Amino acid sequence: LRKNVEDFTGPRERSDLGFVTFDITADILNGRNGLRTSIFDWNVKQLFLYLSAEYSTKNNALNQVVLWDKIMLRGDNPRLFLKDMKSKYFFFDDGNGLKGNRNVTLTLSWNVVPNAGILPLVTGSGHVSVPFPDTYETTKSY
Amino acid sequence: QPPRSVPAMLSLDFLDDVRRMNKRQLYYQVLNFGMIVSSALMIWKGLMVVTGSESPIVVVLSGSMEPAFHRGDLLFLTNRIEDPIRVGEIVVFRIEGREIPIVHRVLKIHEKQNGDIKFLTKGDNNAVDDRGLYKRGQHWLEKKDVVGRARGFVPYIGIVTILMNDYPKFKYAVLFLLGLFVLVHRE
Repeated sequence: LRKNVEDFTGPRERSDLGFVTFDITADILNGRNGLRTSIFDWNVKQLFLYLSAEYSTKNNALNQVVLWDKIMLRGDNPRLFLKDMKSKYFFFDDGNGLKGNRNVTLTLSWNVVPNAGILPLVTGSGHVSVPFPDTYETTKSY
Repeated sequence: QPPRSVPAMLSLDFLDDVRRMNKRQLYYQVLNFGMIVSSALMIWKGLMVVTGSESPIVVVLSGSMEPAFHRGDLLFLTNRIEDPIRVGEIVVFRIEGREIPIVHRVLKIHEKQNGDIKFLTKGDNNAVDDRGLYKRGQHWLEKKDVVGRARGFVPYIGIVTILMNDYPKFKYAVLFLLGLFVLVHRE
């Protein structure tokens, strides 16, 4: 599971807005019992995948923002090979905590939706740190 | 006249049974019925304590979380304070002043050092986040708005509750038949 990112920030009134582009290479497997079997067993209806950014700021001890999500249905290929993806949702901070923040971590997680039963949230192994620059971008070509 | 197909308990035998039951037996059956209702209520209250949620089981009412959940699916919730709210979780929440709970996913959280948290939600099947659904001027949800987090689910079964809600006659028929059955059933 690997991700590469580049980033810019743009000021928006009072809150920082981050722009992140990323690649995702992943193979979703069921890691139970040390075995690496297909995640789509008889009781898995779908997976709700989401890429989230986690970081701390002066204002808030913990911030988590979902940047991108995808529904993977049973029968879809559990391998992801996405390049140059833009975030689906605006990456607004609650304040100005993105500027100069070196410790923004991106992780891929997923919610297993069974045909019936427990709804677990699983975090993938492998995460990437995204350092945000100290200055804002004044022009943006997006 | 064509013969009517009538359930056994509504035939004349049933009326004979009731006449035969003396007062004591009737009171006994009523007490039995009361016990069943009390036990059911106790189990429900027990669930509320164990899960920490005021409504441990809810029925999905809309299609905003499809294809994961559909109208009529049953969700099992917990609302333990020790479990922090994190993105990706499916929460059931109420908007201030509204009765109907909503089942959506947490999209963003901002948590302070002391544990105060504000978060944003979105339905999987919706194009935009829920800010438009919140109260006027409200931009975030807080812990107090949460009824519970969905930990497990069973499909379809909640349809009965939706039917009983939409068709009151159906609800009364079900309750009437249940009551009748318990009163008349000989242990």
